[in-house]
Amino acid sequence: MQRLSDLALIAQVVTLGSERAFGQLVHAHQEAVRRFLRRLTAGDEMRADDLAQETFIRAWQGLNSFKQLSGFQTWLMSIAYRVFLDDERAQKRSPLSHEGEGLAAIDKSSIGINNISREASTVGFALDLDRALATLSEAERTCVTLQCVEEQSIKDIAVITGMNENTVKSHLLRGKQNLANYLKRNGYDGKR
Amino acid sequence: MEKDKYPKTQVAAADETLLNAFFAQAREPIADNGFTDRVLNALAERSWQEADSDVVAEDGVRLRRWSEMLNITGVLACLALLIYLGIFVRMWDSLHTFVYQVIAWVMTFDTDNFLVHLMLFLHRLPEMLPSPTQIFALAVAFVILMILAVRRFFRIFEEKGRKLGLEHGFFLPLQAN
Repeated sequence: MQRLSDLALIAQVVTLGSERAFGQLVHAHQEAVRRFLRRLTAGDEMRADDLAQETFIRAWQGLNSFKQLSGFQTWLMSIAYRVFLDDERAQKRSPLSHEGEGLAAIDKSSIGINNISREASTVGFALDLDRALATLSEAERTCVTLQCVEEQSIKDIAVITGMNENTVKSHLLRGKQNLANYLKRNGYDGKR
Repeated sequence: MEKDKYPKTQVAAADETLLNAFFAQAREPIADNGFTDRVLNALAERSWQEADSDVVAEDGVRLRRWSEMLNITGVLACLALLIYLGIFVRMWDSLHTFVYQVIAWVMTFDTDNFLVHLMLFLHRLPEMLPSPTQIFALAVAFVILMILAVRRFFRIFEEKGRKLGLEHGFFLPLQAN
């Protein structure tokens, strides 16, 4: 139903140049795109929103080339991923932002359960999540986020990232193992 | 292409459960909070930034609205014409008669008979008045041409607008002001 609705709106944008229809598309998909980019930018909400905005502008400019081979959201996610990579290259940043590097450094010092609990109670779950994801490589983080948070299929993740499906599976496996180890180390399995 | 170095097995069931429980909390809803409006404003700003420096943004917005309004007006005029033809020229009756006659003609087609009728028709053509069927055919052709012309008209300005760096194209003759 969502797919049909998307196609109707896309048809209006392409044929009539309707900004109103495009606004509806943005409204329908902003959540997934912004959440995906927040995870990629290690929780940097302002940067993620700027990248999301750029994603939708590029989508507007390239909507004529949308071939419907994949779903609209998959297409948007692939643009978002490219926008993120472009931004990384442009700013010559490491895969993590400065904040992310800080998070990774904290993780590498093996912070204790009490610290985690204190952090969680003060700055919330989002920081824990970004701290956990910061332990992964960029490719692992992207694949794990797309599957575990955005519930994309392996085939769609391959389309979004431009990797082949076996590579995606490898990144997923290693990313999940690393993440599970991290969570166990920090008491998320309830064993302390 | 990256080489697949890892076995394609699932992570342990307990780990999968742990990850699922962890990520269940990660699917937090994100409210729009004006994000859509921000994107649409950025779209408009981007258009003007990419446009020639002598194009004034306010004029562009006004002209774009004009362009969209005229586009809609053109389509509505075509639709109105279609409705007018349908109601006042009894287009639907003509259509019915036309289809009925075509079917009857196909069912009873005879080459000799057809040639005789064709010759008679061509002989009498100059003195014939347009029949309802002919009027209908002309009206349909007229409406189709109108729609094509209107679309073409706006496409020309759209293309010219794009050459100026505008995303959607505007009325160039007015833009020079």
